[in-house]
Amino acid sequence: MIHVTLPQLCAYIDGELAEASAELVRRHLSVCLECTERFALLEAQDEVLLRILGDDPDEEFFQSLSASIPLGTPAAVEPVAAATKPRRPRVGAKSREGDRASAFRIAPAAWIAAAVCCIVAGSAAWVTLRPKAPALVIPPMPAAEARPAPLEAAPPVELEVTPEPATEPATEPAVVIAPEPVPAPAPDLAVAEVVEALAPAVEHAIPPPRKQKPTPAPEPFVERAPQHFLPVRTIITETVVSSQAESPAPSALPGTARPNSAPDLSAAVLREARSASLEAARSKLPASFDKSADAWERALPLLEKTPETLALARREVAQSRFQAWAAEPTEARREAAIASARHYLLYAAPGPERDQAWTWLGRLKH
Amino acid sequence: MNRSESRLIWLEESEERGLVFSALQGNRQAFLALADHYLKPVYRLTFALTRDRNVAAGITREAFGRAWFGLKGMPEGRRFFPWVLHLARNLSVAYARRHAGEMRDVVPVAEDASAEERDDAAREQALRDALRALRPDEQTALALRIVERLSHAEIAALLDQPSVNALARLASARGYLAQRGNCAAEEREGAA
Repeated sequence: MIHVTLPQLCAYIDGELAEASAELVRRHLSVCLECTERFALLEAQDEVLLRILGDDPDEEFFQSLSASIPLGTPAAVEPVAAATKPRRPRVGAKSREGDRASAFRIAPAAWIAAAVCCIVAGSAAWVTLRPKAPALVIPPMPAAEARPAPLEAAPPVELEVTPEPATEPATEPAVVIAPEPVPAPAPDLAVAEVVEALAPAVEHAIPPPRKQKPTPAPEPFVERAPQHFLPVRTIITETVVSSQAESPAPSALPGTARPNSAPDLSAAVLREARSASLEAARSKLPASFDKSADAWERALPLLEKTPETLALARREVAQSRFQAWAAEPTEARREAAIASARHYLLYAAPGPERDQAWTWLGRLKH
Repeated sequence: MNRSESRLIWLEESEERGLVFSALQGNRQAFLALADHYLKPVYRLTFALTRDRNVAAGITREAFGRAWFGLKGMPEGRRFFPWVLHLARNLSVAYARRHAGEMRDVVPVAEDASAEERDDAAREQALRDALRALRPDEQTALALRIVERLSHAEIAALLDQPSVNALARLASARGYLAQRGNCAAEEREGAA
């Protein structure tokens, strides 16, 4: 049976259908329980909406409201609870009121003041927060070594040289030296390159580089089930499971061995649920679908932190329950399928999958 | 109230044009005549969008105030009511956006309420919450249909859209509200 669509029902409720179309809808509603229920639901909903959205104050309210409309100066138009501010009139627009122009005359001054404040605040922030290069402590060097011929393109760089107490003669003060012989020719030389060029001189002033963590060993090859006949949803789930499973093995990191950690557990449960789904899809036996649904239900609590996978798992549960019921209808399966479909619909985003779940629910109920 | 009868009564176009012309010359009485005629529908729309009487009154006041000062900018050949309604709608939407976190109207439930009354209250609460999630155009179309009983063609004209869009907005809004209502009901059943 072809049901009445939602827009058709809405048009019928609003009296917007032509008489012939309205008659067709009327006839359909007289024989279709599902559409009649939807129609009744929408009608009842409109009644509630009228109660929520409607407000009919007395005449006195409107009289006072009319009397309070600001027809004086633009400043009298108060933005409601700072919702918006009155818009400035266009430059050159003639004012209807004598004081209208004066009300807006302060606007340019306010803009200028605001701009000045922004510039001052920005400058202050820049001065205080700009990254400052640390003073380089350079050991004393012979003058001939310290001053090779500078490159022409290199910009003059002033470096504050602080004498090192242990090795520096007491008579040599801090000096400003000429540009260092920087190998990079470009004037916009990167700081890293400057530091690298000066490395021999400042080696002892630079902290040693951090030790990098050892990269985990590549994952051994794991044979997987063929995927060419899997639904897309299952493949996505598998990807998520794989990404969780691909995290470095706890035993590979010294001192962090946790044999039964949560990611391992969830990955294992998800793997089991996926294989149960595969088995059910292959065998199409009601017991297999039941088993698949059970496996996905076990996985649900472990997927709280991955909403996308959680939604997929809910759908898998609902689908497996429905398929089990469709393969071999029993009252227990019907109830379980309705419960899981409702659970999925509670959180599912709008879309064709959600619509399909509504279809399952409709079939399960009737 | 007749469900198909529109509550909006338009001014005669020639009369409205004369009032607008007089208002443009600075005649406040002419503008007040316009405002008095369209005050109620504008207020009803703003109330439907904000669901707060004081806020709706303030927005209505502000919309007409802006209309008075910006009457010269009203597009040539456009009717006054759609224009001022557009102002009020924009103000309401801006207000709702700024106060999105604060605006939650809770349906009171008496302690000795029956299970049926509690169900009704919960359903209404779900509807109120779901209304906030509708797009502004959907909310406006729904308000104009439910409260003003305007036809789809009138709604489309007020929203500056083709007529078929009004039906699409209404169907989409009603479908979403029904879904949310069903979900809430099933959630309650599950909890029970």
